Amino acid sequence: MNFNGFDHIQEDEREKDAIIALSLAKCNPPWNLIGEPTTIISGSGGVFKLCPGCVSEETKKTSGFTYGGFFVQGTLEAVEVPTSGVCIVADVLSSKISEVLTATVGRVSRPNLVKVTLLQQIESLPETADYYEADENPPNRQTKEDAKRLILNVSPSGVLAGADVYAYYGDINISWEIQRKKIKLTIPAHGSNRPLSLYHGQMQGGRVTESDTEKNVTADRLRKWLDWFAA
Amino acid sequence: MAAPHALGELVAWDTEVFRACTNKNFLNNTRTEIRDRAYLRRKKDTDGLSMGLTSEDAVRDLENFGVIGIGVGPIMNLPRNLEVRHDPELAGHALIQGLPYVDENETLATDVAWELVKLSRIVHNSAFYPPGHQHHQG
Repeated sequence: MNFNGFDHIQEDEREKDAIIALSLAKCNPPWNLIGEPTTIISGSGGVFKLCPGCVSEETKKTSGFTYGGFFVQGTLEAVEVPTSGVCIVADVLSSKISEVLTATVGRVSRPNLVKVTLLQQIESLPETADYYEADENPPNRQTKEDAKRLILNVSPSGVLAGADVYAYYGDINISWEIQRKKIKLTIPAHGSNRPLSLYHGQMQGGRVTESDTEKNVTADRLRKWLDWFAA
Repeated sequence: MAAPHALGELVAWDTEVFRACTNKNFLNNTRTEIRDRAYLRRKKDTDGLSMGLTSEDAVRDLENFGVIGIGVGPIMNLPRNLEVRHDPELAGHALIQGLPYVDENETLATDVAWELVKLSRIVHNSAFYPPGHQHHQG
């Protein structure tokens, strides 16, 4: 086992991302990390924030939960994040996922606001006509899910800071830009059969001096280019 | 597809031309920055990107969410073979011609759009309906 502190933090973050991903799969949007909770249950384990879709089931379970903020009943689990008081509810789909949840109890410190904000930006992409040309459709639900899935897998979350999220003819663009560098991730409209692509460019004196577009981008490749962007 | 416009005269280098923000996504959420999509050319933009010789010309007959401006000289100075020409069929209307299509060359189209954004300024960051416009509210 490696006791290097950074490894531990990164491992925590990956586990947290896995839980958030599960949470998103169960209850869109990421209600549990953003805004005011719908319902708060206080108990010996702390304070739990519950999403609207889970309230009735969770309320029935209050007698079942124990200190440590972890309980299992039916198909829902809740995990307490002790230092922030945020509770994440996720679908339990397999024993592997249960292990992730168990391992996380008492270890996740707080939600990463950079990633949460970016997820919120994706989720809240508008559907009103003001944002689109007459012949343009907003990104659909599946495209938003594709975008969130990729972002959730980028670690560490801090590299995601400063993103601008906007729609373009059913695609989702996530862009990072400073004076001399630009990265633009394009999540294609779901079902379009176009690959994820990543534009990266460098500018000098108002002219682009180097640029390329990578196809079939993974979270690791995005992370690599975000590291380049920040360097 | 409509027949391409006949080419008009070049717009003078010392002129600023204006583009209507025909949707809210041309500017970022705080309405302080221009996004590259303002200058991405699609297949439907057969003749080039529509510009007005004034802000008023740019928004004529259009619902809009702001106006951006860009100098003709700086556009022509880019090594991209771009031209800004008058539209001989519509007074006050001009076209940026020579832009690559984003569907054909995504990298080049993004390069050029980014360069044009850097040369541009926000003239109005919300709807601009001058007197005489159908949406003008006195």
